Amino acid sequence: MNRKGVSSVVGAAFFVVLFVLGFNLIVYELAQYDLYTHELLTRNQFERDRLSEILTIVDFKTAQNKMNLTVANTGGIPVRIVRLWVTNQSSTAPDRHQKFNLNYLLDPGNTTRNIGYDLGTFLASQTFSARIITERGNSFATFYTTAFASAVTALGFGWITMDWNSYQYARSSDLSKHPGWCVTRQTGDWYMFYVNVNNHWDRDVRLLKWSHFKLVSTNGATISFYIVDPSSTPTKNPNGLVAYNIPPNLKTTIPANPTDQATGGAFVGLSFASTAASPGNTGQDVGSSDSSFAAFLVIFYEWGTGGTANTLAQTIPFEASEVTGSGSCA
Amino acid sequence: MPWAELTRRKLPHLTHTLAVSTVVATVLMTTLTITLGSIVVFWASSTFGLYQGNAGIFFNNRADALRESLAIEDVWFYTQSSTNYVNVTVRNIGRAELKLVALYLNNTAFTSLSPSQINVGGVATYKVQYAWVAGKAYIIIAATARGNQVRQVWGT
Repeated sequence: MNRKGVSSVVGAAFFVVLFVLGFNLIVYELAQYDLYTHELLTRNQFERDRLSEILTIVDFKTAQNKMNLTVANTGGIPVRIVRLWVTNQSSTAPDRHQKFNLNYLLDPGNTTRNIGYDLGTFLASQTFSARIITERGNSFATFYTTAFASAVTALGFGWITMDWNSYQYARSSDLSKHPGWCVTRQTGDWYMFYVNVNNHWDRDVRLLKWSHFKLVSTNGATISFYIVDPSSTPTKNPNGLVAYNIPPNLKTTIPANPTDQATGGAFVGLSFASTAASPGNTGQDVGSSDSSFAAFLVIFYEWGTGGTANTLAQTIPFEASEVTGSGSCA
Repeated sequence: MPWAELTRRKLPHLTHTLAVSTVVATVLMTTLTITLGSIVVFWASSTFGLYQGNAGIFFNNRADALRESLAIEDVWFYTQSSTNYVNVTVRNIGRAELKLVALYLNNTAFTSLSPSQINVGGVATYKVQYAWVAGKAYIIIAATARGNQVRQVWGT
């Protein structure tokens, strides 16, 4: 019996075992490397997607204490907006930096409107920064100054505007209303000027007692007619003037029309007659001689509500009132 | 004359020992082969196993690091009770939970961060006391336990 092959067989068996061990190692290495390569490709795709995200903030406006953003996806892939950071750059309040969680999915080429929240501390002439954060960690920012969008005003045309045709006057000896461009002077009469105004702001405003109508003559003389309650009449005996904003009467509100600021809200009639700001309610005359006057409608108003109300003032100048004793400007 | 024939003629009393030596030699060879083979297999098995384990850790660590991604979505410099603070908000935008181990503001390290772990899609804000100066730019670095970093420059 030949036993010389036994060790060879055993050796071969060991070799097979070694081969299997080595083969397993190689297969395992390849599997791990494949997983790693897969992760690498996934990460590369993620970074490519991240770089492809392009959001454009095409509009930023405010209305009713609410900020509205319009955002367009101008990139090539869908983008999910997950957060909005808003900073009131003009404020020092602790809450000037706020965040809002969002969940907007924007497909390429699509636009979403009215992204925004109640700002609470929103005031005029303030600058806000808004940053939109996407699910992939990109950030898109814009700045907005409220004054630019809602307080741009040219001389004579502000966000409270007047109806020229409503400019009228009455006097204690003639309570009927006449156009205010030509005023009949009557010594001893009290005069009351009427004008209708409307509101182009994005919110209601309430007139303050310092609002007045001012006539400035060519020689520099000034006659001021302070606002009185709309229920007033220019009668002297008895005194028909009612002081402005004395309970139970309230401040006159000029309503806004936020959906159509160009048109503005409904017109509200104002009356100016007192020599002094409320509670003054003594009537004013138009002087003792004929004169040409430049007219200024000076209005102070509350803009905003509650503790965040802001006081704004505006002048609407216009030419002119001719005051004559004859009652004719022809 | 072959050695075996010579031995059989001159030392007839030793003729039978040839069979014993063959068996012993075979046993010895087999034993030797088994022993050496076992040693080699043992060595190969442990070495390959160790190598395999290290390779697994190597690739897994790198794959985990690739799955991890973070972004600094906001930095807010502010003053509270006459003390300057910085709020750094970090978002996990990757596919794995991450552990934030350090924040650096212009090379000043902040390592006691809570929460240190941010889930997938999660956000965490870290408030650190830092004597920032208005009008200056600061390099903010967020570093994770897997060695990833994100670096941004923010102005006060």
